[in-house]
Amino acid sequence: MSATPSTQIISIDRGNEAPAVTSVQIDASCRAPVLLLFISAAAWLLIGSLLGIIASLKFHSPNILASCPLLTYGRVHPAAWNALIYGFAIQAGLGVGLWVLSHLGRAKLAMAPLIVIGAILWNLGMTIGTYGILYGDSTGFEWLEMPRYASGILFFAYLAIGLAAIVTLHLRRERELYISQWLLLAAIFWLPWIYSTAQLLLVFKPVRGVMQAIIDWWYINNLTTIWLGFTGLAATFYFIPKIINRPLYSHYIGIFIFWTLAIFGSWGGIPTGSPLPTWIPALSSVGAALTIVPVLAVAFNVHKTFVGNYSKLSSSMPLKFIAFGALAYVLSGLVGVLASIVQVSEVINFTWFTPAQTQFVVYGFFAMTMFGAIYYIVPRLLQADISSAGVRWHFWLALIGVLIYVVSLGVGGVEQGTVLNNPKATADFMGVTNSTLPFLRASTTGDLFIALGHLVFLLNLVGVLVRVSRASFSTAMVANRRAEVRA
Amino acid sequence: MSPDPKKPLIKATDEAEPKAERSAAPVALVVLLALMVFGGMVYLGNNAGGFNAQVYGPFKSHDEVKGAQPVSKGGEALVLGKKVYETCAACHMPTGVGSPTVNAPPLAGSEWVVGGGPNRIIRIVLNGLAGPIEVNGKAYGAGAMPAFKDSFSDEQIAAVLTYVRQEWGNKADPVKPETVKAIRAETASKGDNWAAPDLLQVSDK
Repeated sequence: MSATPSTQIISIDRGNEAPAVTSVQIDASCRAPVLLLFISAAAWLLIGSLLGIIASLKFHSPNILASCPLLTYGRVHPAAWNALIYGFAIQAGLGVGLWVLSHLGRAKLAMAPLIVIGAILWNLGMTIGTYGILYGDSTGFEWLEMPRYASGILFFAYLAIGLAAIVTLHLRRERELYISQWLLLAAIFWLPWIYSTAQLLLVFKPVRGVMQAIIDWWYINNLTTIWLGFTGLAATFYFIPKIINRPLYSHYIGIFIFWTLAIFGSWGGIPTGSPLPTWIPALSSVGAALTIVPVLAVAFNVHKTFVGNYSKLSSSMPLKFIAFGALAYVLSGLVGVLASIVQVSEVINFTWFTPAQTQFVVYGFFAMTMFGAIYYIVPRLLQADISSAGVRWHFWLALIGVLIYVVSLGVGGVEQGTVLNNPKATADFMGVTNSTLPFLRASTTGDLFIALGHLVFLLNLVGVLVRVSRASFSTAMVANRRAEVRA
Repeated sequence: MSPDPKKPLIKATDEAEPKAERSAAPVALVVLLALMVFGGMVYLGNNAGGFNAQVYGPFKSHDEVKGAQPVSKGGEALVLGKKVYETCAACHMPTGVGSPTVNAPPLAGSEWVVGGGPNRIIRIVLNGLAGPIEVNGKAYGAGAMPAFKDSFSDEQIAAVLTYVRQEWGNKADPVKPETVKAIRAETASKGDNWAAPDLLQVSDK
């Protein structure tokens, strides 16, 4: 099946129905809004990782910055995560999504000014929310720490950008839908639903008791599995075929992944040992275990698309990022399935394994995929190359950083859980906690690598922007002088 | 991504958007999904506690939870009933012998109390009783027992009647709050006290 010559599928010659809008024109329509989203995302990523390092330091050096209430662990840690999730991940995902939607639809980005307003509002909400958390106004709900005066702004900013995305899809000139469009459309609708539900039931009209925990777990799992998962996979399925210039192996596997993830993936997230009626964690475990099917399907579809073309990995940095992201998706998915088994989750519950697993998905899969997509898109938006050395530095720093972080906390978590669950262990709780210190120090090293990579990422984007604006400035000056000479 | 000025950045492939082949999804994936769904059902059957909201870990079924509950032998009702009886004791005396001076008949050994079901005595406590009554072959004159339907809950009435039916040598079944609730609803429209002849029309069972 995959032996079909690729030229038959991807054909530049579209006969009489040649696209009236060229890629260059679409890129021009995307330039301002998408660049704004990308630069803001990169800035929040750096802010988030700096806060993350402070939070990570507290575990082994609690005296650092301890006198400043703003920078205590309970405030820095949620501020760092919110910056990573809402500042970086969602803005980067929206930027990539908008670009992919307009290109797949062969139509210009619709309502660009609305997107710019939405992006400005979003960053305003982010700024207020981050200050709110550091100031001490956190709601106390994981991943929803931002106080209500910030979450409201974020909600309406998202609606503005989401509306533009839907209109862009609606006005597409290529009627046939590609799998990435399915995934992006679902993600666009999914977030307002889960975000408003969680805000309403936790912050505005709080439900009582353990219901709160259920809703927060449900929200976190849906944001990770569905929003980050769908948006990231949309980029995976778009950019890998595009860069290696071959069709995606199977549309149907894509649809299969879409439905299995949408139906079963959204159940997970509730730990097996939680103090709830047993049917809730039991159902959640079953949902999490079922995601092994879409995870394997992703691995199969990506591999079948790649097969025979793995050598192209060496020629394209964006492809390296995205392929690493796909690998991390599959591996973290399998780890997630493993963790849904009761016997395993009893060991890793309440240990460092949990943050390692989350970081693997959010960073190893989603962020790396977004980096690749951004490095593919930005040169086309600006018609200028990004320093290839800079991109290479970013890739290796991020790769080494995330591996150190995930492996050290993952191994540390398993060891911690094994000792904690051993009734014959001689060490007391503090002793067990102290024994995880080397792993925590290693994770801070990983965080440092990641943060350096983010600095390089921001510099890469700002660098190409400065170069382009200088060049266009001098072109304008030359034109000016010519006009003067002629006069 | 090498910065080669001669190489055009926008390649021809940029114009071509990715397409997907229509390769069929491998049967193995569908079979795996079916097997996982089946396994999931079996797991839920064994571990979901019958989707009963009262089953928490480490229990696996509602029967197991019920088995772990302390079993009531009616002891609580007797304690509550004794407490409520303090009101009744003013006329019927703490020992249940009654008080001929206020025309209060005895409860100990009374056929109204222990004979048959609690249908009649529930009605008496709810609405009170006025006029003469014969107990154990002895006539009591025109006494007046007030209605207690607004003073006591179903549970309290059931408890005091259980107490009365099982104290002083009386040996009758306990009275359930549900029975009181049903009779309260049935007689909700009755505003006045019962008279003994009307009560005798009510089935004793």
